[in-house]
Amino acid sequence: MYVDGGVSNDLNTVGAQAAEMEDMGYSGVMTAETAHDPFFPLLVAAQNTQRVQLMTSIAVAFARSPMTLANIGHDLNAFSKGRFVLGLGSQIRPHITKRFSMPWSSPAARMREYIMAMRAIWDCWHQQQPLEFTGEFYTHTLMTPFFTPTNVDYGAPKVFLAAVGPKMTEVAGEVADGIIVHAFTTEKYLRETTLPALERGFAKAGKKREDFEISYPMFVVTGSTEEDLREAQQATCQQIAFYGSTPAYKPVLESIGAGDLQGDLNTMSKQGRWKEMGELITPDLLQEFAIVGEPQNLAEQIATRYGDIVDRTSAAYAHIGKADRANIIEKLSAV
Amino acid sequence: MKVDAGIGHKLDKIPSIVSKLEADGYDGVRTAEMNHDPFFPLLLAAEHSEKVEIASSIAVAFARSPMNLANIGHDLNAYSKGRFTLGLGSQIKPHITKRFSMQWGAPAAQMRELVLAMRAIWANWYEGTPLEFVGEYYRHTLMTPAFTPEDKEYGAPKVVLAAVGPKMTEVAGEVADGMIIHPFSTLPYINSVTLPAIEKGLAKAGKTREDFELSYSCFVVTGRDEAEFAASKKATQERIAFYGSTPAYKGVLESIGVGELQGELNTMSKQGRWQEMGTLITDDILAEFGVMGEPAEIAPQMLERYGAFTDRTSASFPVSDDEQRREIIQALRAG
Repeated sequence: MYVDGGVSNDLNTVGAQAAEMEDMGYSGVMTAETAHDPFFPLLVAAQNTQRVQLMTSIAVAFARSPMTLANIGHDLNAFSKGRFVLGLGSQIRPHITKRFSMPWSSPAARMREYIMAMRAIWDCWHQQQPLEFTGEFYTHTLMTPFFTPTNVDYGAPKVFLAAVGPKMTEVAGEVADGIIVHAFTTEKYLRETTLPALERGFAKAGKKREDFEISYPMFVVTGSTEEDLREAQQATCQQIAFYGSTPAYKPVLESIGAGDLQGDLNTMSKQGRWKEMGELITPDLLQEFAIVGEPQNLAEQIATRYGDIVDRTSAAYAHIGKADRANIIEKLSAV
Repeated sequence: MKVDAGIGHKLDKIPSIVSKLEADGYDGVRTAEMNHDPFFPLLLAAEHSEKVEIASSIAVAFARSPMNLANIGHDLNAYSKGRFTLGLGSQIKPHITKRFSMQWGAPAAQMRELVLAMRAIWANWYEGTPLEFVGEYYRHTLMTPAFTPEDKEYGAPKVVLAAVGPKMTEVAGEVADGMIIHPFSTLPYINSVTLPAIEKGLAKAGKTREDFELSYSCFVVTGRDEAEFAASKKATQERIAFYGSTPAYKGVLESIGVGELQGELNTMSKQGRWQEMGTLITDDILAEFGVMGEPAEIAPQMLERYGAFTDRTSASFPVSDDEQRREIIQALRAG
């Protein structure tokens, strides 16, 4: 199992941070798109590393034209000599239409077309195919030699897609090279909903499971002291309760027979009772969502529960020291 | 007059190119958007220089959401400690709709709105002004703390527009911090169309010419010997003929009484007679588009003809002798 870790969006420090993570054994470094451009830190990280994969996890697809993203993906992959992974997510309607002023409709169908549009552009650039992409949401029919990159040694980056619901998950299986599973996922949901949806997507595209990567940034509750552990547990419960209040994620709670909780959490969230909400996440519920344990036995637990289905993880081991982290990475990398 | 130079798009070469240009005394470095992302080279340029200004010249505005550009502009300006200028151009309709799959409206009005939208976003980030931008082309009404950059020390970058026609030029005067005059321009055109349109725009916004930076890169024909001079002259004639074949630029040819040349060049371009087209650009016509002479005569000619309105130039000086080129740059900077 590969282990990835998030890097800062501070362009002044991200180079050193990525180099340190490479030394520690991480397989990939990841940026998220929040208040900054998600690609700039990876350009700096590429300069300062030789081996780690450079990943967005995620960049907001619908905020951009497939053409600009195809260009960014090409350039980062070429500069990093094939180490770039373009992780995409849909975001939600208000952010696309009201923050980015871009179109939104049927997200799974749109995302499918989006990724296919990028692939058509890359085929045009890298395999000299004519560009004749005419879809329901995107049209790309014009390309001239002047606008075609010439450094085609490393071709297109891998494309990963973040998905929760079965439709987007199926699209990931069909058109992406990997899926980024939401941290708010249970083992049962993963096995009973995510995997079958992926299989449907694979079947449509004639792909095999081996051609595909499942990335699952699971919750990990750990700590070097009792107090650290308690703190981590409390924070994770609140985070789980926060996600659990979202109507779209109700099926995840239903997977463990706790669907009723969604309504309660939603009501409480509207009253701002965040701390109390965390208390509704009982130790049993926590176990369903998180790996809980001492640093030295985390790797075994992760391997036992997910070793057969998860290809890469990106657990945030904030509460444990560097040596313990390196140890976990080493053990998981051997799985 | 400030002097800028292009740095190309080869990311692994950018550090050495920029260091050399900075040592040579250039004021700024710039990228164009062709077959690569125009911002990645500028990030590396910022990292590997101390004082040169960095600019896109130009990036395709309508290929992107104003939110995206605002974010990129913020990040590059913060990282370069205030050295970034976001140079934007409209491109033409087929490239926006068929290459980028983005919307194209009335270009001058759309560009005006795009710049105002970015300014509204920046005002929200830096001054806490509520984000309530509702335009005809762009709407930005959603912003939360998680998506607001925290590193506000250097604020917004300067925004400059590339413009040819009077409408876009007026928009530049009104909403931008500067303008890039197209190299395919003549002194009569600049005096009768460009400068009055800028004044109109400045007046609308209550700005003065001192608040505004005008960049103009005339054609330069020169060389260290006869052969180099002849090659430079031929290449320039062909370049001018190429631009002259474009219907939208007919007004520029009309400014020097040779409007009928446009139709002729257009016909020949469709027959692929590019080299022959260059022979139609007589010495008299050539002289209208730039300066021609011994290397030592170039800077004095440029200063005399264009110094009154040109704040910066990125003209290319086709002299293979580094020392002669440095002398031109120094003379321009001193003038």
